[in-house]
Amino acid sequence: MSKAQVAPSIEKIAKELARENGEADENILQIRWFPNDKQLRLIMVHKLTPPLVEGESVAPFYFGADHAGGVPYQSAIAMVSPDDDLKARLPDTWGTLDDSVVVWEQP
Amino acid sequence: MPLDWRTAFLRQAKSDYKIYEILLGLDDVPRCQQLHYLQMSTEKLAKGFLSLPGGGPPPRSHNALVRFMQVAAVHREIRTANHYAASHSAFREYVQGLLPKAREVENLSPEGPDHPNPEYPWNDLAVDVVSPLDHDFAGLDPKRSGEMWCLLSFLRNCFELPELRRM
Repeated sequence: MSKAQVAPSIEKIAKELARENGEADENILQIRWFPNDKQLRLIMVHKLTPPLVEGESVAPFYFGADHAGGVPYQSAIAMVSPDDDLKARLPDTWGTLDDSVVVWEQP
Repeated sequence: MPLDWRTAFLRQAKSDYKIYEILLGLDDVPRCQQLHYLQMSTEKLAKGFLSLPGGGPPPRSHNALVRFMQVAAVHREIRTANHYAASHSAFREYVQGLLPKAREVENLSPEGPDHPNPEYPWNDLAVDVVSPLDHDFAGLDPKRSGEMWCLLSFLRNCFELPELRRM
């Protein structure tokens, strides 16, 4: 899916969540958003996340829409260790890192 | 209507947790039997959330509980369920503080080299063979460990999320 096709609201929420979380936790180094118009997909690079074992892919946790919390989309969120960033195998259908947008980075 | 994998895992996790709480309230139940249910419950809880609604079985994942809790710390609905709606940073610190205890619970799985676990006997160099019945698992007693008490409170609140409450 191209970045231009995505409804702006999901991108807005992705950026808002990224900022909210990045600013609240000094252990988050970077947050990437993988554009999709039905699912909010984020990968957070977290200093305290255990590294993946050999052959293991990035595995997101899925949550239903949270209308009361202002997230009216299903979300898929994964944490990776700094060692796994850039080289971990992504979930099928998420595309590649080139398809993602860095929505927050530690200054 | 057939169940999907996610619902099946989460329902089983919730049921395991109920049994854990029942056993926890009984004085004459060995701690290993209580913790066996807690370990199974938390593993299924994390795996349930790793499964896409309507999708296939969860992928194989190590440290699933710890990873789940780290992700839970950034999730607004879980934060609200834990009564931290207004304080994002405080909730993150709270969850961060629970991770060592969550690792201990995760390590109760008998997988891997011999180690203390609530299910199978293991070999201990000092005393030879140990039965889980004879091990006290003291750090995982919520009456003696504040962190354990808080971890259980966190888990109980997760089981009260709207999706799980309906199950």
